[in-house]
Amino acid sequence: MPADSFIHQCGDMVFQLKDEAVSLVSFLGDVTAALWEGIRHPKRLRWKDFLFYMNTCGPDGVPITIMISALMGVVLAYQAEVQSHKYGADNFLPMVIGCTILRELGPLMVAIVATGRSGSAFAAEIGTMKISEELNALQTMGIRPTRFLVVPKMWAMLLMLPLLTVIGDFVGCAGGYMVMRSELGMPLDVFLRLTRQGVAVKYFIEGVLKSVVFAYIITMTGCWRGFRTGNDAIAVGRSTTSAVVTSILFIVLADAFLAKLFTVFYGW
Amino acid sequence: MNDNSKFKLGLFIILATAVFFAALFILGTMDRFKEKAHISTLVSESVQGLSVGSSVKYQGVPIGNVCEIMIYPTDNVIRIDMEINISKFKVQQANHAPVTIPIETFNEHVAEAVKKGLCCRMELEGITGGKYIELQLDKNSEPPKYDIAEFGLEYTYVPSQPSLISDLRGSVTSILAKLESIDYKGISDRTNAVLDSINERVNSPKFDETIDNVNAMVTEARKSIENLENLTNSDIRDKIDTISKNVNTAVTAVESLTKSVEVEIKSIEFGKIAENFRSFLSTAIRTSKTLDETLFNVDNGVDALIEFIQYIDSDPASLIQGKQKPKFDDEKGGKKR
Amino acid sequence: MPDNITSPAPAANPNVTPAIEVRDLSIGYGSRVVLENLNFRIEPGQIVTILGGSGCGKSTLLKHIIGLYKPLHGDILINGRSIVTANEQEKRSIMSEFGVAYQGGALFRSLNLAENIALPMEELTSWKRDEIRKRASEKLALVHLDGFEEYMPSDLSGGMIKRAAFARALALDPKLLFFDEPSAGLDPLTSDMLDNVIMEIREKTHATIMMVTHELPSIFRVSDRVIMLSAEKKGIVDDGSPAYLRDHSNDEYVRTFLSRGGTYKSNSTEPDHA
Repeated sequence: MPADSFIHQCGDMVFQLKDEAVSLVSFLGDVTAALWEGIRHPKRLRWKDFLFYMNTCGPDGVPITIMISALMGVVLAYQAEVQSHKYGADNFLPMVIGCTILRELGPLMVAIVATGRSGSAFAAEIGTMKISEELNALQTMGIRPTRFLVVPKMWAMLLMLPLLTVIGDFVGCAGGYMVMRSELGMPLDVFLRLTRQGVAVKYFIEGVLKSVVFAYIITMTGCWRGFRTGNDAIAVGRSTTSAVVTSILFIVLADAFLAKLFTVFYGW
Repeated sequence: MNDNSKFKLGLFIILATAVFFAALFILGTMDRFKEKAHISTLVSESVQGLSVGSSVKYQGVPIGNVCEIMIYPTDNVIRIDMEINISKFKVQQANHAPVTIPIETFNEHVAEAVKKGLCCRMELEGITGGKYIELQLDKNSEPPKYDIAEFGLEYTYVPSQPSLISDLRGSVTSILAKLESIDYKGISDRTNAVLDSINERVNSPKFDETIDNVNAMVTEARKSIENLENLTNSDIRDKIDTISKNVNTAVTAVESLTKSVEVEIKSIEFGKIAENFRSFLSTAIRTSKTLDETLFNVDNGVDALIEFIQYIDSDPASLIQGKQKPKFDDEKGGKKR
Repeated sequence: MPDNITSPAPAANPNVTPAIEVRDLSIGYGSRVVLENLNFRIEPGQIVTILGGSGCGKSTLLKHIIGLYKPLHGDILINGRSIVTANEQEKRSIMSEFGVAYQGGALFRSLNLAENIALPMEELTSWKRDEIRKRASEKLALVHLDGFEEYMPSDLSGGMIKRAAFARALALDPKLLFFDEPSAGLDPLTSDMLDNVIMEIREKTHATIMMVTHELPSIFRVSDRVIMLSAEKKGIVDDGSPAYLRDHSNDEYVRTFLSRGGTYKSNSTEPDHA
């Protein structure tokens, strides 16, 4: 059978997929073990790197997060307002906006922005380190690359993404309120009261918890793609792209799974 | 990491954490600091549509939420506990802003109000089939069905009244029972027997009047049924009462009709009016037809009522919204009567 | 040891544990064998160069020896301990006994020079911060980079980066050093300077040094011994002191290869300490 036949290629793809899956799972194990080690020996955490990544993942991402979240709130409110106004259900709007943003869109959009900003940066950084043999250097120094490179990024993301999500939620709702105010003349206290009536605190917590999972996914996928970078400069570009695509795919899958999980276990 | 970055990071963390706690506070925790009173009620009907978190309103004002729903299987009773936000209950003080009453006072007020007829009732919340609990003073309310001591409730007990739906269902069912109790066959048989027995006999001038009465009665019954179809939320209970009365009247009328037919026929002195025999015969045949028509109409009325109650069962929201337009062009399905 | 070996370099002392011992080693990628049946020992204190044409597998061999890749067959012993069969923890312990300077320096760009050199000390020792700082400065002084502690790698020239990489390899005072193409891509003067640094390191630390390079002047200057590889034969073609191999190798290829640096005058097999 020729090597470029369709069947051959399909078989090849299956093997590649298997390799990827095996590599991802072992990487997940490696990272989790390194995180656990970090918890047991906090002194061994690279605090300087941790602070650096906290800065790049958190405050540096605030402007874009605010912009995207506010616009998302505005668009959502506009669309919902057009539909619900027909049925005279304007009073339901703050609840619809609040629930949608706090439970779904807020964490999701912030995670996608973070994937684009941080996930790709992680992949590019580690990929470049691999090409310049820095990973080899780490290994031959007897330092576990996951502990050295992934753990500070992971902790930074785990802390910063939920905070970004909180800001995204807030700004998203504010965007929604702007539309309510301009289109329906709804006063702030009414908006707040209606939001409080329909939006339970558990929805907010659900969104924040989701963002913790998303942070794990973004860092894991970004770093994993970085470690799997080939040995040429194009490979870095490829792994960056792939990190973003894979991350978003996993985030959406996790989102669906978590939505179901929260509903099943907590009746949310 | 330079000082500028450190400041930025610190500021970000402080702000985001502040927003986080503010959101927690606004969305939920704020309520935790409010003083809560509890009341309980017991119902025997289905609580479909009611859930933990459903609103509790006092004459339309939201005052709390359902906090627990539990079943006592031995008594086949459902217990509903409600959390009441007593900050809604104020006392006016001279030259001062109104102040919230203390829990003890609230509980005393509730106990007092229960004696005066305070009861709770499940009501439909909107188009979704969800329900809320409405507390209201109803002087005509039935006395509590349960021996409260048996249940050992730790909260103040407020008796429950059947919900609008079960109330409505009860009323319509009793109307149906009364309508069904009419012995159509008996009437028909008796009429036929009478007709047979007065074969070749004379007629009475009062007869047409009676027929007119029957027709008037049927028209009234029909009107009642139409009213029933065009019910709106506001006057539903009144109308049901009226219908109930109308049907009662109708039933009485039908009964008296039958009696009067018998009496009429017995009282007629057949021999004396032999010359009118021919005309009597034709009238009798007409009477028989009209009576058949009347009974057919009453029968239709019963069918319409049955259909109506089924309709309410399948779509309780229609009580709030009124009758829905048929979806798409399903004219046949939409207009069943 | 291949039959055609001209001069098996300084005689092996069976009583001394070799710094590196390679036994029946076959290496490659997947099913492609690059080198097979390699056998050699490197005694403590030697400077040995792995030499060969481009693509013969020199760097690959080095990466196998330092434990980055798993061989297809055979064993590699570092100070008597197998790096092939070692588990993760043992491997890390073996790795901490040697220092590696990579071709491009492989300095961490997010850290300054002092931090780069301090990194292995911070990670693998319990030394105090002051001591680490002092030692890092010493190492930098050893490669003539004192005063550059706060510089970021991106601010340095190629030669400085290489020297900094040497300093980092020396951080834990290892007795075994690996240099991958130390003078590749540098001008002759910088290259010369690096050679001097290598010899100074050997003098001060008495470390065993294994290099991969094809800079002939460097080889003649610093190497005690050359292990010549060939892509065609997929193995060692000759092994001996560079000058001796150039003049007396049984293999034509080795003589021709080393004669490219023939203009370099060397009268002895000992490296020139000039």
